[in-house]
Amino acid sequence: MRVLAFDTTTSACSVAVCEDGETKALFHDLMVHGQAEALIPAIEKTMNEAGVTYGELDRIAVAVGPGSFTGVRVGLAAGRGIGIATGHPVIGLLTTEVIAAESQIATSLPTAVAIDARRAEVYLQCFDVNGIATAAPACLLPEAAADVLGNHPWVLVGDGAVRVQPHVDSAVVPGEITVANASVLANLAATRPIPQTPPSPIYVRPPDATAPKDGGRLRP
Amino acid sequence: MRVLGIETSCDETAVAIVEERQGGRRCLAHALSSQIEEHRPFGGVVPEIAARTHLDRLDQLVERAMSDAGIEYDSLDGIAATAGPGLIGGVIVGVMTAKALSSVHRKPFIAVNHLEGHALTARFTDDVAYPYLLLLVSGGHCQLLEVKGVGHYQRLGTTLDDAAGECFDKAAKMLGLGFPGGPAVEQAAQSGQADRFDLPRPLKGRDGCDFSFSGLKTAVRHTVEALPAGSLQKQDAVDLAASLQAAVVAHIVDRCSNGFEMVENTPTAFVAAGGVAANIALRTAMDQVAEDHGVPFVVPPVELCTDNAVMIAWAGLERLTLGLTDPLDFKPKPRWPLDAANA
Ligand SMILES: Nc1ncnc2c1ncn2[C@@H]1O[C@H](COP(=O)(O)OP(=O)(O)O)[C@@H](O)[C@H]1O
Ligand SMILES: [Mg+2]
Repeated sequence: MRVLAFDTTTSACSVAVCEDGETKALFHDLMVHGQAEALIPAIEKTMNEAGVTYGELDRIAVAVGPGSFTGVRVGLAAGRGIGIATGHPVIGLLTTEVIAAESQIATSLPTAVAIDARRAEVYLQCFDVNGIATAAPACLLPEAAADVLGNHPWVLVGDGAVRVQPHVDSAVVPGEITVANASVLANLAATRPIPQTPPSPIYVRPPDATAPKDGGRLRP
Repeated sequence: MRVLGIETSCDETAVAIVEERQGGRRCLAHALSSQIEEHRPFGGVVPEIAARTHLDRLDQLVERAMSDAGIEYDSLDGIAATAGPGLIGGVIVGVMTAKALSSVHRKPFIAVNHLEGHALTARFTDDVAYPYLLLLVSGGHCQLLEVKGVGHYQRLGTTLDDAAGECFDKAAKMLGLGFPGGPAVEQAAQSGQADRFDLPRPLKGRDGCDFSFSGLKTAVRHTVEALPAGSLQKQDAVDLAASLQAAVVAHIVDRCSNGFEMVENTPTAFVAAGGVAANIALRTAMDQVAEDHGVPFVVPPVELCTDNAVMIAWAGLERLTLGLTDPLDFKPKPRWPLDAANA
């Protein structure tokens, strides 16, 4: 099973080609902006390094968020584009799930992932010792996220962890992982069932839009 | 030569495939999905909703265009996408999809300036020769350009504030005529009396061919406020729509006439493009301006005046023919003036 995986949803551009659980090539650069420029050349470089062509892949894996709205769309537009261009299935995974899975390789402890949602908020999702999500990701202020975590011994990871950490109970301990790694994404995706439809984005936060009063009419 | 083009810079998601052979040029497929319904409740385009909707729809539109054309990716010579100017969230969706297709099938990627798409449409539809004078009037733009060749544009004038379509849209909102405002104003104007309200003629008598519409928008507001108290009467609304349309048309005529004095070379034609060019009163007036200057007036069919992907595929094809392609690390640009002097 050959998988091309990539994530651009948070503060990195991560691309991997994996074959039967083994990482053939990995590109992993931290960047806050610029994924729309970096991603496709990084994919080409990684594929070259792995000595694999698009036609030889079995599936594509892409992180679907939550994260930066733009980052989510950069990855998904590329993933879905490669999907229609190659005819290969495209598997979408939550960014939180990929980060939790990497953290749990080392710790196998219950893991809470906090991703920077800007505007002083984080996207929070918790995973039990078996890596099963306890709820859908939610968009919360750091204080509210700390309330959700309570005094349970979570390992707190993700690039939003630094925002939440000051507010948590001493039972919650900081972990190492901040962003998703495409190798982990590839290996998770390798065992997933093939979906009937292309993956959809997970934004969590609705778009900012308010309808004008009376449709903007000056008079009724 | 065959190029697939993608347009996602505003509220239309579109994919087209165009071809040029010895015998001529044609559009093999055009799949377009408008987001008017998604934005209607907000009375204008909401950028984040637009970006989300483009992502939801674009891959299926690519597949539909390919199957409508009945061709394989291998038979394409290039992949073009609007890379700016426009709402950046949507532009990124189109650019990433195009880059992915380009990377997988090893076809050149062409980053097209949306305005260049509008500017070159008349060459696709009417084979207009350079140089020509172009009036671009849409919801986001209002400018007069001398088109000298692919990549060679001289901007003679632009709007100092709002675009013409924006003026119609905002006025229609104030008058409760609906969204999008241009067609609503035009329809209302049919039963209105254009000389009922004396709206200003912006920049009248001033040199140059810059445009200004925000004063008209304010004048509409003041006129409504000055009406007797109570709800806005239907007749008042349609008369105001007619007066506004007349003022907008008169302003554009005045500016375009000045534009003819400013061109470097005698134009072969006067071309109009952009959604507002659908307006019949404006077309009739522009036709007269062209005749006064002894050149033909060319306006593409309405579906190629408003945002579409045929113009992007065609501009991509014209660029590709000249060897103008772009690297896969091309950065999408929210702002991207057509003339290098202003870049
Ligand atoms: N018949 C018409 N008369 C005047 N304006 C119109 C007409 N039809 C469409 N418009 C205007 O054209 C604009 C949309 O055109 P389009 O080329 O898609 O512009 P943009 O993409 O810059 O918003 C809107 O502002 C709309 O109100
Ligand atoms: Mg439009």
